[in-house]
Amino acid sequence: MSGENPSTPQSHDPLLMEIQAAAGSDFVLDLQAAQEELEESHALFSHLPIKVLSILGGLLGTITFLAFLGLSGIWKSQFSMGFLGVLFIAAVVAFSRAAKNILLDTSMITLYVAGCALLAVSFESLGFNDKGNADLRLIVMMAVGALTVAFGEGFMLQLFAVLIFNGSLFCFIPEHHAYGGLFLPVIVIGIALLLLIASEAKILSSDPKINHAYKAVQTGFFLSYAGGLLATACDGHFDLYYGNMWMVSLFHLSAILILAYGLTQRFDVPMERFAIIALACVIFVAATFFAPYVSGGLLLLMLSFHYGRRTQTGISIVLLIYFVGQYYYDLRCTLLVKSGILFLSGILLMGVWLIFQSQLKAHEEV
Amino acid sequence: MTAILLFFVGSHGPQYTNMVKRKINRELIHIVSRHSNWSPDEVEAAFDKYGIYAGPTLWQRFLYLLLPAAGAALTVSGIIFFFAYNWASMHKFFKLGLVGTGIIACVILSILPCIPELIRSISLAAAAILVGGLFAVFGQIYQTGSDSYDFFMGWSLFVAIWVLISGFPPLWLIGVALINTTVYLYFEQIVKGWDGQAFDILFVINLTALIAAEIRGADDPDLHAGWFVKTVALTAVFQITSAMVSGVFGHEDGAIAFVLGLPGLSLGLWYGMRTQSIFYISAVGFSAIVVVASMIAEALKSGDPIFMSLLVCVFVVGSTSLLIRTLIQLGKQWHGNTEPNGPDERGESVDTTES
Repeated sequence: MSGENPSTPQSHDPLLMEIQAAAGSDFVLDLQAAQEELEESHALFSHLPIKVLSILGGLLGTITFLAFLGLSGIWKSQFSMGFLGVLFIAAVVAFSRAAKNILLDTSMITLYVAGCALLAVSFESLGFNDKGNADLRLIVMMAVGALTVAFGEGFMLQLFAVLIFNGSLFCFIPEHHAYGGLFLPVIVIGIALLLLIASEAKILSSDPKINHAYKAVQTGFFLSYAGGLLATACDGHFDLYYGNMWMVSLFHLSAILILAYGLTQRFDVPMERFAIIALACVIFVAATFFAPYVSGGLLLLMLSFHYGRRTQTGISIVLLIYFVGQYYYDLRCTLLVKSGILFLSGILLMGVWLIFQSQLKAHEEV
Repeated sequence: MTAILLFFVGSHGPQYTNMVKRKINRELIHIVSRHSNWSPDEVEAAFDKYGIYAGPTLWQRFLYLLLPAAGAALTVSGIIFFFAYNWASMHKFFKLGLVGTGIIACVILSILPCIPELIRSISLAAAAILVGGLFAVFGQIYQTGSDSYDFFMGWSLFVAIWVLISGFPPLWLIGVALINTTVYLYFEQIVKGWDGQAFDILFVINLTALIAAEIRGADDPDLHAGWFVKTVALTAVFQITSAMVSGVFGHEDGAIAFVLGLPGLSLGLWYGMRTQSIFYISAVGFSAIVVVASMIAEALKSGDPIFMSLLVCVFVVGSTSLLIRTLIQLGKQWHGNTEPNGPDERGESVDTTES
C-alpha cells in the first residue's frame, strides 16, 4: 500500500490525503461523498456529552409523552395503542431515512421508545392465552428491532433497536420462568458480539448500508452482553436458577483461547508461551466455572482493549472489578478460605508479572 | 431558556483558535471503507497501521499495569479477609495496632523518594482509607455511641491535609466523597427533613472543590484529571438541580437553591464557553431544561393535566434538540474541521498543539 494514486482526485483533508497517499494504485475513493460524510460526522455525534444528552432528553420526553397518552385515556383501547405504536415506529423509521436533521433526533428517540412501549402494552389482551400472548409480544418486538436496524438509519435509532431486539430475547427467560435457560441468550448474544468484533473489516467492506449500521449494532450487542452478564451476576445464585451457566463458562473459555491464539499468531509469540497462556486461562475459568460472569468480564475487557474501543474498555474494567467482588461475595466458604483464595490468586498474579517483567527485560537485552 | 441563550451565543459567539490536531481514527476508516474499494484485508491493515487495534507494545503496557494492580488488590483483600476471620478473637490493642501499623507503613512508603511517584500516591490514598478503618475499629471496641456523621467528620478532618497536599486526584475524590457523606448524614440524622438544604450545601462544597481542581489543573496541566472534574461537576449539577426541582414542587424552600443555583450554573456556562468545553454546557443546559420543565408542570398543575404533560413533552424534546444543535454549532466554531476533545476510541487521541 504505497505510492500516489492516479485514479482518484486528491483530497484537501490532510487525513484523507494521508490515506490516499498510503493506498495502492488500484485504490478508488468517492472523494466527495467521503468528504461530505467526514464533515457530517464531525457535526453529529462526535461528542459523548451530545450522545448522552440525546438519550436523556429522549427518555425524559418519552416519559412525559407516555404520561400525556396515558392521561388522554389511550390505555382504554388496546387497538389504539397498537395502532399508534406501529404508526410511531413506522414514522420514525421513515423519517430517519428521509431526513438527517439533528433537531429531529431527540424527537425520534422519544417517538420510537414510546411507540415500542405502546405496541408492547397493546398485546396485553389480544385473546391469546398468557404464554402465547407473551411469546407473540416478544417475537413482534424482536421483529420491530430487526426491521428498524434493516430499514432505519442513524446511530441512536439503530442502537435502541438492537437493545429492544436483545432485551426481548432475554425476556423469554422470565416470561417462562425458565431461569435455567439463561445461558442460551447469553451465549447467542456473546457469539454475535464476537463475530461482529472479529469480522469488523469484512463487514465494513461488504456493503455501505451494513457499514453504516455496524457501529450502532456493535455497541448494542456490547451493552446487551454486558447486561446479560450483569443479570447472571446480580442474582448471585450459583446453582439455584442458573444450573446450566457453566456452559457460558465453556463458551468464554473457548472465546478467550481463540482470541489468545489469534494474538500469539499475530505477534509471533512461540507456541510454548501460548501453551502457558492457555493453561493460565484454563485455570482462571476453572476457578470461576460456576460464576461465568467473571470470565465474561475478562473476555469483554480483552476484546474491547485489543480492538481499540476505549469507552467499552472502561466499562469492561468497571464490570470486571464488580464481577470479581461479587464472585468472592457469592463464594460459599468461610472467610478464612476466601482469604486464602484471594491471597494466593494475588500472589500468583504478581508472580506472573515478575516472570513477564523478566522476559521483557531479556527480550530487550537481546 | 438556556438553549435559546446558547443558540444566540452559538451563532454569534467569538471565534476561537484553539484548534486540535486530528489523527486517523476508527470513524475515518469506517467512512473511507464505505466510499472506496478497500478490501477486508486492507481495512484490517489500516486498523493495525493507524494504531486502532492494539499492537504488541500496547498489550505489554496493558499487562504491565494490569497484573501488578490486580495482584496487589487481591493480596491486600486476602490479608483483610484473614484478619476479618480472626477478628473476634483478637485483643483490642492488637486490632488497633494492626490498623495503626498499616497506616504508618503506608505513610512511610508515601514519603520514600526512591519509590515511584504513583506507588507513593497510592500508598497515601491507602493510608487515608485505613484512617477510616482505625476510627471504625476504635468505635467498635469502645462503643463510643457517636452518630455516623461524627465518624465521617473525624475521618474527613484527619485526612484533610493529605488530600490537600497530595496532588493525586483519586485521593481528592476520596476527600470529596467523605465530606459529602458527612454533610448528608448530618442533615439526615440531626437536621431531619432538610434534604433540599443538604443539597444546597453539598452543591457549594462540590462547586468549591471543582473550582479548586480547575485552578490547580490550569496551573499544572499534569494535575488536570478530567474524570475527577467531570465526576464532581456532575454531582454538583445533580444536587442543585434536585434542590431546585424540589423547591419548584414546594417540597423545600427553593429560594436558597435558586440563589445558589442560578449564579453557580451561570458560572459553569461561562466557564464552558471560555474553555470551549461541550461537557459543561451540556450539563448546565440539561439541568436548566429539567428545572424549566418542572416549573411548567407546577404552573399548569391546576389546569388540564393532558395539556400540561403534552406541553412539558414538547418543551423537553424541543429544548434538548435546540441545545444539541447549539452545541454542534459551537463545536464547529471551536474546533472547525478538527477532532473534538474527549476521544471515544483509540486513535482519536489528540495532540493539543495550537495551530
